[in-house]
Amino acid sequence: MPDADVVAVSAAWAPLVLLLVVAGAWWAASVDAVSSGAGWGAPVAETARLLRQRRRSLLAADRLLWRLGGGGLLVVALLMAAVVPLGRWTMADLGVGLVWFNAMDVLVWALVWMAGWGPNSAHALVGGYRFLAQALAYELPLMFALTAPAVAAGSLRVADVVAAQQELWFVVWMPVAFVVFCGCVVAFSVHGPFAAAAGADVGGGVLAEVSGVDRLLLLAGRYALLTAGSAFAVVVFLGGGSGPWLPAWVWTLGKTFALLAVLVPVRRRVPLLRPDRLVELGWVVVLPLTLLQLLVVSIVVSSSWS
Amino acid sequence: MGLTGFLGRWALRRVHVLVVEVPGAAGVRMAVERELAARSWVPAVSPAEADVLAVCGSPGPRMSAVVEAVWDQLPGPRTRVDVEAAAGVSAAFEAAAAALLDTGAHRRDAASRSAPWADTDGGGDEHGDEHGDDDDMDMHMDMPMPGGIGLAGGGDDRDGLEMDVLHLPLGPVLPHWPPGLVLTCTLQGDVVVHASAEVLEPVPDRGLPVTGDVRRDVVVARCDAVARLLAVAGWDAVAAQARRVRDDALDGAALAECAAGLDRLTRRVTRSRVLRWSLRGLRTAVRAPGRAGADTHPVDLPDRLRGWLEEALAAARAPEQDAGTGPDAVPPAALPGLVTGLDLAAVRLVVAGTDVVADLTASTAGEAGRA
Repeated sequence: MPDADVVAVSAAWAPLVLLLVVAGAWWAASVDAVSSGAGWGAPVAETARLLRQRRRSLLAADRLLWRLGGGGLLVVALLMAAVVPLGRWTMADLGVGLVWFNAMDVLVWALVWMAGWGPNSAHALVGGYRFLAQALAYELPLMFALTAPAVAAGSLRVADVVAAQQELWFVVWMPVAFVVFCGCVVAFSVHGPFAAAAGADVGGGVLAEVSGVDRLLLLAGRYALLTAGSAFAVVVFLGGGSGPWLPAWVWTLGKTFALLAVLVPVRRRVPLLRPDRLVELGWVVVLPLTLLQLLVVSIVVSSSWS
Repeated sequence: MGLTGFLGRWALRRVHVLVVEVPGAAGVRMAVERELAARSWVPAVSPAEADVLAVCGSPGPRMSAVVEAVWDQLPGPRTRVDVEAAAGVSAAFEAAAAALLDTGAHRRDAASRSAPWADTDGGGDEHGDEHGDDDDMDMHMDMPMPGGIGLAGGGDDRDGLEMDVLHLPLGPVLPHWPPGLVLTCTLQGDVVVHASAEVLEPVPDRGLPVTGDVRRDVVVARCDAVARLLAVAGWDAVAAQARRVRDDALDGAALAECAAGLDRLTRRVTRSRVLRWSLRGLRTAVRAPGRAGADTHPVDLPDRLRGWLEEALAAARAPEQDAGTGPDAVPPAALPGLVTGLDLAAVRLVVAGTDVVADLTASTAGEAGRA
């Protein structure tokens, strides 16, 4: 096991991590706008518009859960990013970093559901349970896709997983797990083909009733989740900070932004995946493929021990 | 003025507009969609999202009531645009942009609007009437109900288990939805167990633009239908492509050019395995062309989509002004049979894949019956 030396920095750096997550979200929003022909200024315009718009509420809305659901996504993205090492530094050097990431992504279930439940509106509620149906489809493949690098590194600590890729990035010999993981990141970010919970067919679903700054938080939270997920994919599959010439933290950031630029425009190429048919796809096709990948990884690892 | 003015100017680049199409105003709606695209403004999918409410056509009393209710849900700063003819669209939106920057007026508007509902938890006096006729009288009648809204009744679902029922009207203001259509659904979970359909203020003509060339008119109508179905299927990029072909045909681009655009569109649509997978197993209905009466027959939704594309392509390639007629639209009464038993996502796809034409005889009879 190669020695992984990362330094856990003090919690006072949390604002910087938040800033990086927001910068990533901004980048994702810009890529989204440019790829759909709206130009780089669109996120600025959208933010200005939403800051100007009034907030609203509905009769008998469960305001506490509603606002928690909307604002919580950004917090979860920050908590995910906390275990991502940036070069030598990390916010939290947890022995169970991979499990932590997984736990945070399960929090998204509750948050999106609350955002759908809160406003007391039928369309938002439909959006909420569409997300749960979708989560049921992607969660198991996501867990097993994450298990593959953990098995290969022999550790659940993120820094160990990065160190285990010194010779060869995991994406090279576990491409299926990488692709499945990226798909699941898009899914828990309610983006692109997995955006049924916010679909136009139910008037925007979980977005149907939010306006103003509440909407801004929800939209930013989705892009932030995409960013945190991409950053995690970079450290567990794409070698983290390994790369020539530049310092490791630059490589991690650069790879994250590059991966975002690939994941965001998927929206333009693939139509929405029907929420009521997604479980079939997730469990009959994707899950067995992921398990097969895990089997291959396990055989390789155990044969290299003997 | 500094920050307010700055935000306002930026916000104006990305105004979200909720478009309400009154029956018989399809041409006006298309003109509005084009204006939005030209300004890179965004069509809103719900009132909460919108800054501008654009009403296309002249609403009668029932649609006016709906429009008022929707207007009340716009958060503000808000402004309203009424467009009755395609010619006035550009000026109307120019005025809307100016109105959106009038901060003083928006402050007054905000102050004049009724305060948001007080939380009525515990004030359980007014709930009695709302209670419905369901058989859950065993529940304590003096239980406080949130906002005075009665609780849901129950019913047997398709597996014979008791489940809550929700009565949900779909339309008339929904994105990518036939104008004026109200589909009143009874839902259990996400599944429609019962439905009834009606078109508010039906008119005999959809109000599609008339270019003077029948072939062009067919291309416009079919591309519009394709764009709507693709938008509901969640494929905005290709829906926009279909709308571009439609607008080219309206602008008088050569028909050969339209045919080339349609070819590209068809290739993209038929190649998508995800789209095929999404539409698989769904059925819509059509009437045989030129046959009166309500004898509809079912068509698979992917075939209907391909049919639209083929009809448009055939029209664009036709040597002279003779557009072969495709199958006819069905009356709203055919919809409940198509959507019952389906999931809400499937219902939206089926409705978007169905040409609905108001059945004037049936709806006037309905009006008379109600009166």
